[in-house]
Amino acid sequence: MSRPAHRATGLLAVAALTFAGAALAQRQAPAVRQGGIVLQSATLTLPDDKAAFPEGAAGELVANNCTGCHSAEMILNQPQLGAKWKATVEKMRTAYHAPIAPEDDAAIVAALTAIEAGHRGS
Amino acid sequence: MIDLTARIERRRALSLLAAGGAGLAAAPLWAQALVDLHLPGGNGARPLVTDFPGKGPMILQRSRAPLLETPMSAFDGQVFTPNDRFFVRWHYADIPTAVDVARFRLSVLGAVKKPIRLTLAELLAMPRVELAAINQCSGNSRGYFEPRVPGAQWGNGAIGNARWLGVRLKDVLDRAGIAPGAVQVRFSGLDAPPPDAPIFAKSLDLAHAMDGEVMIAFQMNGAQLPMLHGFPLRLIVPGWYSTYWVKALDRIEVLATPDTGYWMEKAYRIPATPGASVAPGATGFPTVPINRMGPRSFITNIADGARVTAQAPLELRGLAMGGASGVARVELSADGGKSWTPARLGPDQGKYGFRTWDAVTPALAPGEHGFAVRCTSAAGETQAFEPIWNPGGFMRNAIETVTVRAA
Repeated sequence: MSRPAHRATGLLAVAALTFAGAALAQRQAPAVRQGGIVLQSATLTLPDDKAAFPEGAAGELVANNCTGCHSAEMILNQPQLGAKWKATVEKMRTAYHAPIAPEDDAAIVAALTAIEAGHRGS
Repeated sequence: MIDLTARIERRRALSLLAAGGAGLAAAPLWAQALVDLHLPGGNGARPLVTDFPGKGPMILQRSRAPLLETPMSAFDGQVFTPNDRFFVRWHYADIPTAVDVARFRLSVLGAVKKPIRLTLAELLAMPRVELAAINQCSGNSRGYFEPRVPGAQWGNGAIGNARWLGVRLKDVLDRAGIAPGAVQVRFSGLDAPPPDAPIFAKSLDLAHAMDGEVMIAFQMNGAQLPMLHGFPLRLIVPGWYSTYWVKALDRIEVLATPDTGYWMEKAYRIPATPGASVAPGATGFPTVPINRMGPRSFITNIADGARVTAQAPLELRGLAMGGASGVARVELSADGGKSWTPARLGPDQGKYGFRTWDAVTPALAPGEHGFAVRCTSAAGETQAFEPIWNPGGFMRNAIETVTVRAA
């Protein structure tokens, strides 16, 4: 399914306002007013990813294959999955088209399991 | 005032107290503190962070795409969850970061007599409706499933109640005119999937979409929707799980055939069994899209494992919800469910919202006391002790028990 064509025009990066500072942006942000309601153009600046995988080959492999779409906490916060990580890796490929080569699955599952064990201190 | 005298044995009490007393690893520099959600089997420590725009202290479940959980203490004493403490859940990392109100359009297309593209000014000029309604993630409390299941490992805080101001979905659909043969209506927003992944879109049956209750909100608790909550427009589906409450809604597509997209046909499915429950490990059962919420109730002023003063009464208070109907009653038990005593209910702000409740115990004897709270909905559904299980980790609504040590 493709994105609706109007999406690009519905979004406007108000970069100039960001540079002008929050107070100025507050005054200048375009607004729509009607019937006592004001809706004001808005921007969102998200914080950087926080958690990281442990250093080493396992962490690098998982970071390279998994963190294009989501930050590390999604993996680090899971319960002990062990071999069940395989189903999750497959779901990421089949449902979300994550660019993970099937021949890499075994190594990725092993890395996830190693990270999981280390993360728990067990 | 209620009578809660008996002392109960609690199977998990000692281990929980031990976990609470053991202390957590030091919080990282960027975290305000660590919160332990006491998930079964462990790995329940989460940082409390304050650096998401417009947010107070939130439990960080995931930085990108953001998953932010409301700490239970933030619910205490109020029916409405403040915007700066309301939980946040996005599926894909590419969430809208800028919206120009002058250029934004809401499209209504598909099986309609006349496709339309509405400006925000046009929407603001339509008749308005206001509604208190609970927005709860389908997977709220997933972290408490036993056996555990993969997914966002929420505690109980992927839920909130707000006053939503907007227009009826029915009125918007009527402006386009439903074409003969239409069966469903599909909703999607400004968030974008990774390459080749399915766009996040959810559908309601036409009759539901036209029921006059489903609405398109532009205000949340008296303010424009924060960006993290779907500015400028969000679909509100009262009584139904949050997955249908599409954020940054910009596209409404009337369908002549049922939605076969991933997010309806594969994701957010529950067993078509009583209570949406199956035996752990079961396969091959029929499923249906997740839909209505059931009753829940929470104690918000006392944390599990808290130490309280002995020989003194204890005030208990919290929140309750009926789900797709109102709250009929809230009851407390101090004897593990052998006997129940009604709590006092706060003002009714609408059947789809939270209801506050409170109760005062008699003086507590020294030792452990467990207090269980349960809600019965206006539709007659009552929370049970026995939790449900399903592989998606959806719809948990078991009775919550808080154990305190009086000394």
